[in-house]
Amino acid sequence: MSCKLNAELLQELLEGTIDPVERIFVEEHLKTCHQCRKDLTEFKLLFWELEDKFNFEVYIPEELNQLKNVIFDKVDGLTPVSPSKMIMEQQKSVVKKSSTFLDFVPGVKETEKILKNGAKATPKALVKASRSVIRGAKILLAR
Amino acid sequence: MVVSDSGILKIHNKDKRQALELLYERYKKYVYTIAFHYVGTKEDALDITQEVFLKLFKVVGELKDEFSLLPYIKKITINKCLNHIRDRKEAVSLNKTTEEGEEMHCFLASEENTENSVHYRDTRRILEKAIQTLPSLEKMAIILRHVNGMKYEEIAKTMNLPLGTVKTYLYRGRNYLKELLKNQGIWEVSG
Repeated sequence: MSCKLNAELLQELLEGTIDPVERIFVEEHLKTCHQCRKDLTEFKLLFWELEDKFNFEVYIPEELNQLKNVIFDKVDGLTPVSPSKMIMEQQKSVVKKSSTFLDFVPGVKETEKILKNGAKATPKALVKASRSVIRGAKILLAR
Repeated sequence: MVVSDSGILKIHNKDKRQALELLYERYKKYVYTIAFHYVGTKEDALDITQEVFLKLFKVVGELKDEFSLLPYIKKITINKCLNHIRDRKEAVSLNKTTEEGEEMHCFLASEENTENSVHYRDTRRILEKAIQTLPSLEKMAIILRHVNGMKYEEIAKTMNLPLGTVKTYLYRGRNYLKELLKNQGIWEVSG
């Protein structure tokens, strides 16, 4: 035997969009109606699946990036990009991708820091070295 | 540096290409995601993405600085999705069978009938398939509500439909999904 309760009310109850008076009515009805309780449980499960973001994760394909060039070719009045720039950009993305793994290798970031600090220290060291060379040359000349 | 939408429109006056690139980078995933959920295949979703951006790029020069782009992009995407299905005869005939309900149930059940897939209850895959079998307007309403988390009023505005109609589509769509998922046996509901 099917129940005469409007099934939309069950969905409204779960969405929280139900009218307060109707809410009381539906809650009372649920106490006595086995079929509607079952329907409500099923709707709850459905809502749970629909709210689960994992169910809707989308893999973004590489083609989406390439599509940009196709679209831009079809748009009028754009300043054309020179072929050399395109090659450079492709190279850049290749290098970027091939070195992505470096982010996950332990110790790499530290080394990068040390190298950077080292690079900063070099000019000073160079100045010092060149000064001492000049000084040495002067001494030699004086003799 | 993050540039606002109105900032992009300002850039557009100086450097069209840069502005369009910014737009594409910002919204490509958004458009693709809606399209993918709607059409279900990568190729079709890419087609729609292309159409949406071509349309957007055509009109972007005429938009005013204070114009908010997202609702507009949503609207174009939805229109392109709905038209895409209409253009494809196959998909329309599939939709017609769904309206008869029973036939679609048999079709889906038969596909999942092997012993393996009964044990391998991949809810995500089943849900994805079930959504694909919804009639186009119901499908769009469900995607906007549950994938994009839009409110009823927002959906009504974006789809250009009265609020009551949107509600009906959602109720009908969810009812249909509930029956399909129940028939797939992914829930064990007793009592």
